[in-house]
Amino acid sequence: MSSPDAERAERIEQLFHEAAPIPTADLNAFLDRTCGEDQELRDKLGLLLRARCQAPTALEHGALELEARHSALAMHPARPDEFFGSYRILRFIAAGGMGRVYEAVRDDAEFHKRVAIKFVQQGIDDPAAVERFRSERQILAQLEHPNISRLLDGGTTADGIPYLVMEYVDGERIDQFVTSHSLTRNERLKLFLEVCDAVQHAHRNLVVHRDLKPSNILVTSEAVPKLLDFGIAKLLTQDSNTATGRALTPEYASPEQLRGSHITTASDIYSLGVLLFVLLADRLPYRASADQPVELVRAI
Amino acid sequence: MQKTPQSVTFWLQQWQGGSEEALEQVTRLVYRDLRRLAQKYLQGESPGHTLQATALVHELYLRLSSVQEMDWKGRGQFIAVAAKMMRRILVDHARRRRAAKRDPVPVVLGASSAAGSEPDVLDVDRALEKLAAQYPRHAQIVELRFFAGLDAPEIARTMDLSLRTVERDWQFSKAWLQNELSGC
Repeated sequence: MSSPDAERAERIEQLFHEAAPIPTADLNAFLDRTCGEDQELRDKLGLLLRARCQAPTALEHGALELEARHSALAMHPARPDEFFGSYRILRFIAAGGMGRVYEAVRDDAEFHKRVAIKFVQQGIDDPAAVERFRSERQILAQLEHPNISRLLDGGTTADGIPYLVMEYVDGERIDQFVTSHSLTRNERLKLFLEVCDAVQHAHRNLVVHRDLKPSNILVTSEAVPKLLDFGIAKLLTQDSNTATGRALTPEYASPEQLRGSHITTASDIYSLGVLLFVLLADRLPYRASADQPVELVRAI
Repeated sequence: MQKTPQSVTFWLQQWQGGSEEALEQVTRLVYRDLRRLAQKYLQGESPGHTLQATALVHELYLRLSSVQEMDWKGRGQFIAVAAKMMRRILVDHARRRRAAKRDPVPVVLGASSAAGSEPDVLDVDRALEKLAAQYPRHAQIVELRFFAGLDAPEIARTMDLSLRTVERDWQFSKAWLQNELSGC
């Protein structure tokens, strides 16, 4: 930077500080006195003095917080009555470990279909992961079975938040259903076999559920079991740097899952085994309870 | 000065020497904290006191007893490097966040469009570059404060300036940057 520029920069700064104690009413006189004919100087100084009076900006809070706020805003999912593409959001259903789920309805001339839209809480930082998400989604969308809640649509929002649109299932958790409807043993087994059929169908299509548990198996009022979130656990944990905040409910997890080892169709079978026990015995196969996760994990 | 392998001092020196792995390590830490913070915003909690930029830099250098033993000049250099690292990491994150935007895709009305008008870290970074061209000392002060979360006394010690200079420079820089950013 050449010397006259440096001098100029210094002068601007100097005048800025000189102007500090001067009341706004007297500022013009001050500028007249100090800047004289130099319109450019006067303008620049004027801008700076005005900026000084303005409310604090992003600068006050620090970069980390600023970026976090922008990230959070980018992740902000839907609100009731807002539109999301051709879907109208009806209500917030739940905030799961992986994301927030909303009930919505597709409101166009042809369809009036209830759906559940799940937004991935954390978004995906990595473009390669977004691509993987997309191709896996396509595989899942092809799973067609009467006992599997269909994946209808999905994508990434303008702000980079992956979302999934699924068939909305109105039902009761399977473990609660068998109790509240006082099902006989045979009826429970029949229900269980339908679930197995669904899992078998998925396995034939090389899809592993990875997260089979009663909260993912709902039974409608017509006693039709529907499996939710098939393969989604994998889809939504693509990011290897996932924060450890997500709690793993270990009750239905297989040993290899808890160990963090390679997960196969056998892991689903293990979970089904636990489910069968629960449906028949109304309790978990382990003496330890969910209140003591460490004990439970050891038991498994 | 001791150099324990895998220590943060080691990372920062490696990073100064051009090691990408060092940057990866610290990036992971920062991303983790970013997510935690963002989550708190999502849940409607005001994160205010819970996590500040200072915390991370303090976490970085307070952990090491070897750093404690450094005189202020040594610590000053250390902090200056940490601030640059934070800056780079956060600017990268902001770039990716922006790049992830895709048009036209179903857009949720409301929150995100409002946020679009507020300057983000990338905007500040660019404005700061401009400030540095004319007022390098001021820009360094802003970098330490905005990216590393140091307060005025800490900055004064780090840069070997008087507290008064730091405070005056900050006042000027704020106005200068504010003016620059209002054009965004």
